[in-house]
Amino acid sequence: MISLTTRQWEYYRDLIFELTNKELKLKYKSSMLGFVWSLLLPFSHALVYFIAFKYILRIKVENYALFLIVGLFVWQWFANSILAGTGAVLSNGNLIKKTKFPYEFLVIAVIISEWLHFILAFVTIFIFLGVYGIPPNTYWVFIPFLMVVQSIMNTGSAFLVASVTVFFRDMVWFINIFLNMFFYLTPIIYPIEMIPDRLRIFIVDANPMALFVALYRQIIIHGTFSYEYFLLAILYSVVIFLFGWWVFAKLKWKFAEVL
Amino acid sequence: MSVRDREIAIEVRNLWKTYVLYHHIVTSFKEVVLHFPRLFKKLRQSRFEVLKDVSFEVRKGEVFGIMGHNGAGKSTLLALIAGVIKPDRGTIKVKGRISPLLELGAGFHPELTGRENIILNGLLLGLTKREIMQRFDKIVEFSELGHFIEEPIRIYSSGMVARLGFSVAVHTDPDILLVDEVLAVGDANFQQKCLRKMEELRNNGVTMVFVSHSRAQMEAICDRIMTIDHGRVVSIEEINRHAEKKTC
Repeated sequence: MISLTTRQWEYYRDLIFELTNKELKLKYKSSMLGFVWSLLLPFSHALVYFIAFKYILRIKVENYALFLIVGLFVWQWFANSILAGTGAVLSNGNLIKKTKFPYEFLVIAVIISEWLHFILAFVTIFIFLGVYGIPPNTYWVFIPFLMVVQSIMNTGSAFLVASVTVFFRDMVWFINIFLNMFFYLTPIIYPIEMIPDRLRIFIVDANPMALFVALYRQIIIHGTFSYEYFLLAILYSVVIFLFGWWVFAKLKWKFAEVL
Repeated sequence: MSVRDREIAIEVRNLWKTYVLYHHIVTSFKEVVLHFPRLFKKLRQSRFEVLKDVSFEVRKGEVFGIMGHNGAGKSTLLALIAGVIKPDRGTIKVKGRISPLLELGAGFHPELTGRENIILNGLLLGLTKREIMQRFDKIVEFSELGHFIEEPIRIYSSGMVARLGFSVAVHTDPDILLVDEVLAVGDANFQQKCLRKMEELRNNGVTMVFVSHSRAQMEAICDRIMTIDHGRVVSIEEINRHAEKKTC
């Protein structure tokens, strides 16, 4: 495999650090609440769904608030990575046209920036656990692995949209519609058990996001873990990553010409 | 030792470059759906040959000028040498580390401060942060930006941006410096300072490819000037700099 010298390690570390730093700075420039906004969004959704589903549609799910928070945070991480991915290459045209550097790092920087947001959001979940009086369980050790696997999927998806958007600007619109449909077709605001059996294969088994949301909930709320779902999630994530990476590698040579 | 005997720094052989004008192709979604076959025809029509069979070589330590009217292919040629785009046919061999393409607003992010842009730019050029910080004070000093270095680039004048861009590029110890019209902005004093710096770099054996509209400016600094027209090389002339060296 590729062996890196100490200087190269130092270089790539610096490059990732500075690009991520730039992402975070630009995201919150002249915003007073800054990072708090990225927490308020899923919380406001959670509040609305809670009122609509708990009190109006009378859904029967125990710990529904926690159920929503976990699902929405996991979803938000994925959706934000994709949305940030659409601009990863496009908004850096200035840099790409003037210098030759590994453009992949532009995508990796937005992925790390979104990952940091997710980690901080995740901390608030523990506040809910305290409120509900749910003690920690041994399955929590799987949470970091789950995050790694989802990061792989998020990265692959971001590579895909980052490169395709350069050539097909309408992609941004398409992604908004896609994410909206995908959100309601993924068991986030309703439990898997409510899905009719004949639809489950499409809505759960063929949907990596459904698997991730289910796995986080199993661990945090129920103290269980489905190895079957986990392996399936790894499989999907690796396939999505390789596909996204491949598309990006094919298209990156044309970035400077089109931007 | 004459420049002619030195080793080759940049070798360009039979270079062809065609641009596909993507935004001409997809004008609307309706068109994509309704006129799909026509799209292929259009794809062929919207090709634009920027460079046709371009060959030349630049020796180490030489200052090579490229002249031509707007759209002649000068900037494309620089982008090809910089490696940010790929040729369709032909080869480009470059020996050594290349500076960024120096243009107006060269690779800077408008929302970041001068300081942050220096670091980012240096990294994109291949330096580590430590290596950048070693040169930091020199870069700021040369750019004459003073306390503006802590302000976002968007409030800079075009001259200030050009100064910073030039300063970063020359202080990152490139083997090859690509300069595109950058001296067209900025005051006369700074232009003189840049020309002096380029002279100093030339003496240190740095190779330079220089694009400008100003023939006078080019003759003052270039060893050879290549003229291109509609993507073809028209002439490569030798400049006897020492004969008319009086201004610098």
